[in-house]
Amino acid sequence: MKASFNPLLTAVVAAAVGAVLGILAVSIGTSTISNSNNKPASVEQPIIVYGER
Amino acid sequence: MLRAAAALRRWWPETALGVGVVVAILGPVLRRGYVLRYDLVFVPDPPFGAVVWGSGSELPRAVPSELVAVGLSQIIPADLAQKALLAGCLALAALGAARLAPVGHPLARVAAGLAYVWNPWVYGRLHLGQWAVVAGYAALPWAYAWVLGVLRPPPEGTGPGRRSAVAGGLTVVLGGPAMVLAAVFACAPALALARRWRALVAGAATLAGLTAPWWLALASRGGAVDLDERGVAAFAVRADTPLGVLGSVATLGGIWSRHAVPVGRDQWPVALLALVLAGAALWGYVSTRRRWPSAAWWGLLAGAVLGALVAVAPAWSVGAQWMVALVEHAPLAGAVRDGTRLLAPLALVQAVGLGMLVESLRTAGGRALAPLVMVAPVLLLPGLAWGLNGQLDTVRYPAEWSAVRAEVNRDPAGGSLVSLPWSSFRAYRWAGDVPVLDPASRAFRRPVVGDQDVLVGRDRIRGESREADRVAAVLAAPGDPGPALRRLGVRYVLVQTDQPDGAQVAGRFVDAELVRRDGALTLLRLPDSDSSDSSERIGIVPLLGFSVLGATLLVALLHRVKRE
Repeated sequence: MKASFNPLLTAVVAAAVGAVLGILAVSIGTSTISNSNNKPASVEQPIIVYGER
Repeated sequence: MLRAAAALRRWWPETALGVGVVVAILGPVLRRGYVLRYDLVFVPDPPFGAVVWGSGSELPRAVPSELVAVGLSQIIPADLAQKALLAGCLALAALGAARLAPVGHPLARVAAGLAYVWNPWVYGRLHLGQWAVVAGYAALPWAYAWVLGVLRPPPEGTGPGRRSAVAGGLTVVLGGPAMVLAAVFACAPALALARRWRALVAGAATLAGLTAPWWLALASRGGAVDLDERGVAAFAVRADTPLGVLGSVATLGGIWSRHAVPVGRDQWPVALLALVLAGAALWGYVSTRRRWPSAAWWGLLAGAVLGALVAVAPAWSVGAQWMVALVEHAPLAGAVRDGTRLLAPLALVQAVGLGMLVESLRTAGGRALAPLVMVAPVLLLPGLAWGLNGQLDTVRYPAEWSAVRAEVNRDPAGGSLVSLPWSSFRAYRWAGDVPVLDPASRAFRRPVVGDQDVLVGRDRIRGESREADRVAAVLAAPGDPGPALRRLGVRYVLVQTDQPDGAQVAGRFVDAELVRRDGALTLLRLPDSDSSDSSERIGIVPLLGFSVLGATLLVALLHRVKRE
């Protein structure tokens, strides 16, 4: 099997991947999704845990 | 130069993918400052201390990855080194999987690379800051490319060349025993099925040489490694989807910490779609059977099944008992604790399968579906983008840290430093209160003794350092702990007073000399300490271990193979 190089297709693929990732990244980065699971242990806690099951 | 340009032209989609995933995942932290979270600890101007050489009394967990981190930090600032290593791991993983997949179409190659990086496994490890584990994961496709090359050299223009496969595969040692075991699971069955015994022995010898620093560091500790069996249950696989443990593992999740689970995985639609994608990827892997040698195809599948079995074993009582027995009696059995690390071969199977699926869709009339399948991992796991949905951030150490470091490091007298309050993890307000391993253990030239226990929920998992146990016993006794610590060879006590119980601990040292006191750090010196057993020298054992590692690297990279 030989890899073929098609400049047009390559550009389209690269642009599509970049656009999808970029849009997702920006939209998610600025979104207000909140997830209580991801809040780290607070320093006010008497002990600092590595994680919780 | 011309060769590089030709390679770039040929592998342009993979290169774009590598850059894309690095920017998409690490975008918000690609600037000056340190990412401090959980196991991810970098300090400014790190010395080549006991953590680097594995010469402390704790298990050599950061050997040899810490040497790479500290070595790179001698060339560029440590915060940039940290980001370079994180980015390198992600790019290496994406490129490796994209080049390994036996597909020709750029879209299919990108799909394979993207699937290998964009999944709950990588999310969980990045969340916990385990960059070295991700480095071991990134090495797996390259190591397997070496196996494929042994079984049947790929046609010109497909797959990585032998030297790049070997070079990429060698980085598996950074991932520690668990990732080396994952590589053995992935690679050994294929070589055994093909009866390539010489290659199998060569691979085993290479891994033995690469892991020499651990073996020797462990041997030099004298006596067995006493791992806490409660760690088996604490770090066991757990269901992070409504699909149960098996469904969670099949979709590359199941990490022990519920904090390290991406947003949405506990929702039925997301979990079901993830399961459908995993099933489709496995179907795609089935259709790669004609493109790989039979032994390679069955071998990787066997490795994936084996890794998944070890990962899910503690979920059932018999498996958990077996695992406890293993941890109690076998050295390095900690590799199977936190067993979801061994899902890496399954991730590789699914990545290759997804690449093949996209190629099949391209050729079988499903052109419109192919791009959707390619980006499906991203759509199912948007929380990995943009620094884990904003969880990764950069911070700077307060100036007092460098002042204390300078003070301690310029003292020529021996003796260790005890870091207090007695807790393995810290949570700094200036670092967003995210739990992070105590940076003190990496900040000083002299040996640093700190708590090695970790808290998982309310369970305390005991560490393995006898020196730490001795210091803990002294601290548990009432009164001034200074005299007893002096007898243990402690010269300095660093109290981080911005931590819980910090101010109270500092008040216990009545006779200690106050060297400096800042807003958050108090440095005490214990006069006339017995520092005879402290040493800043590397020691013969680590020197020997790293010499064997270096020689193994040279032989593996420079060895020429006669084509049969």
